[in-house]
Amino acid sequence: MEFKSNIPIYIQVVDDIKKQIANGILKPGDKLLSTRELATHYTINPNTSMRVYSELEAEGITFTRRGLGTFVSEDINLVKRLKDEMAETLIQGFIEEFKAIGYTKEEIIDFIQEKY
Amino acid sequence: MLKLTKYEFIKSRLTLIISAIIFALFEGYYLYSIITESTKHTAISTALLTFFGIASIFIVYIMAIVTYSKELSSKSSYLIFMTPNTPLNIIFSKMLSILVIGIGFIIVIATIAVLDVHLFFETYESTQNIVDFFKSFLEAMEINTAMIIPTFIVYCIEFMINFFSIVTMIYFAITLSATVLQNKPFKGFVSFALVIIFSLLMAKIEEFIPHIYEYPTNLTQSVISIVPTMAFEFLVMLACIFGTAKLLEKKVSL
Amino acid sequence: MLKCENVVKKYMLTTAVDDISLNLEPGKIYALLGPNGSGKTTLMKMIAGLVKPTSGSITYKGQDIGVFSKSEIAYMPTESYFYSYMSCEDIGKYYSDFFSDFSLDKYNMLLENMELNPKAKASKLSSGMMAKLKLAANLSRDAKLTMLDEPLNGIDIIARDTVINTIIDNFSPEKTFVLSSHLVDELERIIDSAIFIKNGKYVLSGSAEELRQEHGKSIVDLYKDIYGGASYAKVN
Repeated sequence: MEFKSNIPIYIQVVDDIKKQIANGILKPGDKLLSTRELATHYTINPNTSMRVYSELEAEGITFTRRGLGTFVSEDINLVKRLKDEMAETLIQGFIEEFKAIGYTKEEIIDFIQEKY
Repeated sequence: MLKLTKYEFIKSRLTLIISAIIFALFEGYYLYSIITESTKHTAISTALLTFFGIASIFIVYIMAIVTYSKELSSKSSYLIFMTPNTPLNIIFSKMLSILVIGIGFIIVIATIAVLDVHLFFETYESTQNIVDFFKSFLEAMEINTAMIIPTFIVYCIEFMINFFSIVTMIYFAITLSATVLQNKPFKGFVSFALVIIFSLLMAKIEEFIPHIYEYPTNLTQSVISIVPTMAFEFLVMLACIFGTAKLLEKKVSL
Repeated sequence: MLKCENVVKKYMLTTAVDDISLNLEPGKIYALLGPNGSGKTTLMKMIAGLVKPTSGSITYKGQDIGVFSKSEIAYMPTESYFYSYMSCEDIGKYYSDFFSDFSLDKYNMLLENMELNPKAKASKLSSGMMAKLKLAANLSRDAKLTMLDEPLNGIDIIARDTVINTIIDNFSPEKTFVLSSHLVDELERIIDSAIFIKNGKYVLSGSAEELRQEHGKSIVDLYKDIYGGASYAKVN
């Protein structure tokens, strides 16, 4: 995975994991990689991977079982919540960008109908 | 330190192997001359062996000096100096390996020499009479022939200590050149001059060391009278070893 | 854990390290950055005990550099430093003999990963293979402070992954890694902190994340800013 330099690395990894949960690659209750495996997988610093998991845990997306590992939360609303959150962020930027190049609301909707 | 010594041996193995081969060749030639009872070949091979025997001791020490000098100026010194060993241990390991190799050479050469001499007398029986005559001659002069070998050994030890003190002095000078004098011009010349000066100084001091028996009447006494000189040279050796270690500890710059 | 205070190293014509002070903490991977000749290697050699500073002090866990520090610090030089007679196997034996934190099993495994023949002689290796061998030897130690001087130089792209993954695997909260390099892009993602040195002098340091936020650019671009001026003719 390529990293952008204007966003902290750990946030980019957190978002990547959120995406995987949102589209079902990772399911509620699934066991995630260990911090060491995560670091190797993304080629990031091990401290950063620890930070990724503390962040995910703080947001209630994952939980840790001592000695067993880190797991995706079993909250049934989790997937929907993440999808909604991420969609919200994406749509803001999306609408702004299209407005900036002169698209009206109807033109945007037609465009999506055509392209999806 | 023993592990360091092990690697010092391994590093010298090329010299050892070449020396062994040359020695084996000369010895083979000698044995051939004995079998064929050719006085001419025996004479030549004896000369070769004697020459080689003496030269090999010098070779051991020259190689030790050259190796050390090259090591301090090359990257392979990293290997030794990165290990958790004090510089003193490092120098001791080098001295120990030189000592063991030197003694090893002497023992091998001496043993082969004794065997060769034995073979010589067995083959050329007439010469035994000359030796017997010479022995009686010495006894008539009240020289204890049984003491000759032990005396020879003691003189060998004195020779080794003398040699060692010079080797350690040279090590000190090389180290000086590689550390304190590293950035100064003419460092090679300065260290060389220092060795000469120290050697002359040492010789001068030795003139003043008392000989316990001014005129030794027997071999025991002459042995005892060189003990003070030996002790002095031993101290010089220790001073140089500790000096070298101190330089390496404080001023190493690889 | 490792403290350098006002360290200076002068040679006949140059000052290689000019009054550098820094503090290395356990559990971090540092990048020591700067072009060739900036003093990185000299600094690392002083920490490794191969060179004594002209002035200033270096302490490891409160003690001067010496036998104890050498037992816990691993330094990988840029040059080939093995005796020419040594084979890869011999080098493993040497390290086992002198470093209690060396794992022969790990070493053999790394040799295999990097496709190095244990019987091959150091003097016969290509520069790429030698680079891998040096890494194998030093990464098989469990040193508390591991300093790798230009670890990715001469390493092919596939082996780079092995190297970086081994560094990540070796990591633990009690250990410190210092990777000196001018190939910043490869290292940017795995470092905690960066230290920039120029002409023997300290320029800048800090956590990688903070440096990126503060300066609004990647460490790579920051590097170009700091050192770029010297190599390009300025327009104005």
